[in-house]
Amino acid sequence: MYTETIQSTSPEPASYGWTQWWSRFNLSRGAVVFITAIAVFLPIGLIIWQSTLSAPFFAPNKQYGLDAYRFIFADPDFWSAAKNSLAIAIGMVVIAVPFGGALAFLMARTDLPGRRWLEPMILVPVFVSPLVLAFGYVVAMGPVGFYSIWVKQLLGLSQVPWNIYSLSSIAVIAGLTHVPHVYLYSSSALRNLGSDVEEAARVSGASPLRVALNVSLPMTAPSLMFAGVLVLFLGFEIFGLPLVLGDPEGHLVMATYLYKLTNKLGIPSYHLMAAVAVCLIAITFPLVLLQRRLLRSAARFVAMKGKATRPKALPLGIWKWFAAIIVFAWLVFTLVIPISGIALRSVVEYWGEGVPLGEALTLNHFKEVFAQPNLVRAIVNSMLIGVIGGGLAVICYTALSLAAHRKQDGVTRAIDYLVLVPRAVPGVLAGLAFLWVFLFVPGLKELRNGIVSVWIAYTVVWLAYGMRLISSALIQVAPELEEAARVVGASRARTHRQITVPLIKYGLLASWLLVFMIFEREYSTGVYLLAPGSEVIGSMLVSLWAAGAIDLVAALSLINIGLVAIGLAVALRFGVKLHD
Amino acid sequence: MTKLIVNDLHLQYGDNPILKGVSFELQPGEVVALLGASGSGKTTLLRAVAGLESPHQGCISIGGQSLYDAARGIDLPVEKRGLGLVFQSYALWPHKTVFDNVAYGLTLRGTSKQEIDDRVLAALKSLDLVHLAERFPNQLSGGQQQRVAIARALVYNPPVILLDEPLSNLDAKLREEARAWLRELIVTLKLSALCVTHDQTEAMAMADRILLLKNGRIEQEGRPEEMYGAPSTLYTAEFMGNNNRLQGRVTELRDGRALLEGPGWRCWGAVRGSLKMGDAAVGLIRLERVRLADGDGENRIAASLVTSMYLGDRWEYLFKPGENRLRAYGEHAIPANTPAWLELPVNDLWLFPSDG
Repeated sequence: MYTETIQSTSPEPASYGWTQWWSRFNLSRGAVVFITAIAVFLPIGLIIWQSTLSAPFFAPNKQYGLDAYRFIFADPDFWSAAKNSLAIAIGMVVIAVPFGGALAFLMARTDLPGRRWLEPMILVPVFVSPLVLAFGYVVAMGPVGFYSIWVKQLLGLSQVPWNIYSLSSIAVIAGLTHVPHVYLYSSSALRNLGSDVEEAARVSGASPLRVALNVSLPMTAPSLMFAGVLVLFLGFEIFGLPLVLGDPEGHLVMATYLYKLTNKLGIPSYHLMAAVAVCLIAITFPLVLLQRRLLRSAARFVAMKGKATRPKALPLGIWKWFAAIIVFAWLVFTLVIPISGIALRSVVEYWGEGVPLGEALTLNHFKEVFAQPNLVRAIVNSMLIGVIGGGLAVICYTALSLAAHRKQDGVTRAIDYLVLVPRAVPGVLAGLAFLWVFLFVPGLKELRNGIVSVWIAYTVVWLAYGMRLISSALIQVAPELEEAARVVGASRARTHRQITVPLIKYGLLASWLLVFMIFEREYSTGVYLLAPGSEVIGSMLVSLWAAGAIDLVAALSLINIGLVAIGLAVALRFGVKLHD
Repeated sequence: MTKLIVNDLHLQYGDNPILKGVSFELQPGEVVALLGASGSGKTTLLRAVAGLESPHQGCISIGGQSLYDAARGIDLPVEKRGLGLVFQSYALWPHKTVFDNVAYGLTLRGTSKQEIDDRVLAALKSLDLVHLAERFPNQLSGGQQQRVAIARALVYNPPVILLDEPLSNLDAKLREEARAWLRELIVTLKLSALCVTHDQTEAMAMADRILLLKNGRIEQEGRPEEMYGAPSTLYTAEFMGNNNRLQGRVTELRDGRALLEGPGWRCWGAVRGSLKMGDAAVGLIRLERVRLADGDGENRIAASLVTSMYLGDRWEYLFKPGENRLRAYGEHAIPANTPAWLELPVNDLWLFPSDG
């Protein structure tokens, strides 16, 4: 009988007998946190240390002092870059927040036509490299862009009716391309907000518009605030758009000012770059802390949510066509125009006024790309970094997430803040900092000429993003499932291995795909790490653009878009959520 | 055999004390129910025994071995305690089959493949689950999931099995059948079980002994019939059954009985707790003890019927004499506004000091 068969063995697990101390102290947990701390603090520490020196840190005659700060503060270009950064950041907030919020409301609550296919399209700009978008605008809407010339011919104008190189154009383009970021947060807030609170207002006698203004808007305000601060922060960080679009008229922002410092003095002015970097972090870090605070208060608001019933779509009447046209126009402007421009430019021999399109078509640019070994290497490296590097990054993020999983202690809090630090460092700075790490730390020099260096930098730069992906998967795991494993005798580490990780398997695969796309899109982090052997498409684009090789830029950009598109297609095919 | 001893257990979340010194013993082969309202700390107590919550004072031991002892700095991790726990939500692992769910605890103990097969099958057989062994949890009904959860907790023969609201996830109809089945299982397998529930009927049906918790302390403990038939506090009396409550003042005391007086009525009752002349007191009587009488007399209250409700096996009447509301059971429908007398037998009307 059952009772007799089971009485023969002891109830305790086999591994019983370890000392208490050992079972409580989790070696791997400490190691994971320690390695992450080094990967985060070494580069940033190096930047801060370098900014207090009078020469590059490897120079023999360096001295401590604040000369670097004195120099940049005396440079009028620095101040104009700071002013431009501020103007662009504010412009982005003013454009992206209302538009993104309205778009979220239209998508989540109304009968806007075509919502089903709009949903994935809205998020696409997030995954297209801003650098590629910027090239797209130049070749599509620049002074001799495709669309500029067509519009000129169509309207019989003598001049293009716009100028995409002005500061305000940059702000508008940056604002419109960041609408998806706001959309993401406000739409998830709207979805979490039970429709019953809105229905209650309707029943009490409020019109749909009043419901939107008096109930929905105030209840999603914390999320909108969060998105606003996020966009402001991204505004200080942007590099690709002002690098390409700001160049013709000489508009610098903080990140491009830093990038151009090398050219300015003609010598490695690491101490000056470090000083600019510290100034930039001094702006972004408080914004990251603010975001964190806002996210918490937003979460508190969501906790008061009502019952989530399926909301009835609000009929817009004839306004729905008006709204649809605006949304459609936005999609055309942020996606169709730049991407079609790049695609077209990659297959024409030359382009200008009076050139008949049919005669200029060619595939030579692609042939040239594949004839240059460093470009082929860049493509191969990009794929390796995306597929294998992305997978490895997900493993790292998972290890770190598990170290903080369901434990409220000092280590978890430390991880929380640890993740914030690289978030505040713009990619181009992070790349620079890692370059210094590889130069500075003995034994790491060899890494510089391989893609491992780029992979490490990418993984650290996207730490916060990756952690968010993994933790949103982990949140889905009911705590009892893990507790049940502990009760039947599995240790913490074993529970993670055999219960938690198998349960979030699909979440991890989805994260891998998203990290792949993000790594394909990334460009600024690789700029300073560019060396023979460590080329990736993103950094090669920056370097080719600087050399004026627009044909190659267009072809390589299209290849980059193609790689991201493969990721997107797989994601959409398998129903991966493009956001958490 | 092994005895579970919990002694003076304290636990708090931040500054919020949840358990304020709980002590009890679970004898081998005994079923103890932890009963209480939500927030009484009953689930926390169960989880603390399992090792899923961290107390800060007191001790827990089983068969002489310390699981937790604040004074000696012992706190055995969950997985080393070797207990069985059936979760309220069952917490079956969705990525493992029924067989693998049950087998996991044995795998962790390094049991041989053959023995795992034998023991898991034996466990599944005793719970009538063999035909479901290859299914995944999402393919099972609620009742089947519950049986898998129990099999998983029993298969490695834990000295004590902990059950967290084992019946609350079942439909009302199924629940009473499952209650009888679970009691039968515990008795035939001679298990020692600690069972959390908020339902006093469930606690009385399942357990040999009940611990009633209130605000992190044990309010009263005893056999089900003691708890129901001889509660020592007003809280226990109110918690354990369906009651009528009369608020009044003590005007006479004699041989352990007292006269409770309110506006327009006076009844003798049995004193429980300490009462003095003139004290505010609460009279409590179980619904089934109230009798309908056909005329005035001692311990009778005149009232007219407000409404009667049909419950299937009987009728429930609602009376409103003066300020009070009194309910009683009967066999027939009575028309509204029928004048009646309610008799409250002296020994069934318990008088407690007023709870303010």
